[in-house]
Amino acid sequence: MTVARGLLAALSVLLGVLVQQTVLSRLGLPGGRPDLVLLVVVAVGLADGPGAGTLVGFGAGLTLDCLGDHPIGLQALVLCLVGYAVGRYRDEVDRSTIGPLLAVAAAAAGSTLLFAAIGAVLSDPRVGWTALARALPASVGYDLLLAPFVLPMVTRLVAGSGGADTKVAPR
Amino acid sequence: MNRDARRTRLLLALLVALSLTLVTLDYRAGGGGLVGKLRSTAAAVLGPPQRAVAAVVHPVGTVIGSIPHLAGYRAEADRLRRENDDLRAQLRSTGADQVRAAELDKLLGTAGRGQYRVVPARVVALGGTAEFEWTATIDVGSRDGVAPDMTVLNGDGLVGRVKTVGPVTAVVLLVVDPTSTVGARLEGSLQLGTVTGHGAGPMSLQLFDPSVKVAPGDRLVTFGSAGSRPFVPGLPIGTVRAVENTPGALTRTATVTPYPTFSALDLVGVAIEPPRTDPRDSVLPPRP
Repeated sequence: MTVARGLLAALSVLLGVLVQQTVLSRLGLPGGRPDLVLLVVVAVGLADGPGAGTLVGFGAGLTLDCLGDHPIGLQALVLCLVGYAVGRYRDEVDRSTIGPLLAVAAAAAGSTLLFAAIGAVLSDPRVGWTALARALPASVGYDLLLAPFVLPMVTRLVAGSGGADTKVAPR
Repeated sequence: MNRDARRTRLLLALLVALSLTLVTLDYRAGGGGLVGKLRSTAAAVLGPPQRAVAAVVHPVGTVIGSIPHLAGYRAEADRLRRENDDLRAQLRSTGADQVRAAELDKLLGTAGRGQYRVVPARVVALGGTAEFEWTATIDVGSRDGVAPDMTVLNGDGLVGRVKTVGPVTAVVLLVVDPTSTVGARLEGSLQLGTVTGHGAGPMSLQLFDPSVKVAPGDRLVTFGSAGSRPFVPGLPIGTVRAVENTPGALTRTATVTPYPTFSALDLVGVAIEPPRTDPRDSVLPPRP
């Protein structure tokens, strides 16, 4: 991952956070909301591999943590694991056309469950079965709806600038 | 296994350890210390772009945001549909300004009746991304005199309290958040209880005295905290929806519908100065 690509990834994360909080969260959609930042992390993981996915996921999560009211580090933990996992299995994902969508679905479900699990460990009163039952299908559904638009955009933005090292890194 | 994969795993392990440390630190410090500084720095850095983006997308967001709600009203009578059309036409032609002026009017009315000194603010962002969290970012900050633990209200009643403050933005914990608990008083009596949020569901009221008579439709106002922080006294919270009868329980429980609509928050006010005397029930609108 070159410096330019890193900067572009950071830029997409920042844009993702801003659009997420100022637009998507305010739509008042029933059940939940699409997670734009998660999609950016998934896109970077798919385009640049586990190392970049981990770093970008951590950065994105930390930004969200600082702007929210849950313990700082929670989203950072969840999203860096998501970035790593997506990057780790990107070869399998690349083999089929619906691979990226499956990755998005798995990432959305996984991140919601993991966030809820850590919340439960910290005995956070916000996390309960009813909240989880509402959030899980909503996050997977909305993320899948948004993925066909967001994934290509981020991939083009991040992969379009680095040139040479797109597929060079050994895995 | 090659070197690159090993390096990536080491990076992952490092970052996981780092985030776990941060979670622990934040949990222990209860919002202060190093992590508190991280929060206010983030608010200082990201507040201005948040406001800028909100200013650009706000009219679009209001229109798009109203679509799911409009769909929900379809079951209602033609009268409402016509009214919606009028409202939509108004939104298109004269913009959201008129709506906002009306909201501001209502907010000032509420603030005037309760003698709270308020700074008006607009919601620029809702929520973290966590589905379980009910917070809002507003476009006033320490430069406008806002400090942590101030009460946030709108024309309908109690909205929440200020948690983190940046120079030009502040994060508000809404009263429907499950971690939020407010001291409440039944209208026209001295009966006290606490109101706790349950996210999208109705809030719950626990009355300290189990023998108190509560009925659906009873209205609740804030009891007020010591020094009026985080909650000023006398603000309308909501109406009792249903009362649960659990014989032998130490407290009486009821569900409460809050006055403000939390999915469509726009104009709010921060009470930067509490009233000199408790306004009692005078802030509640007259009974219809």
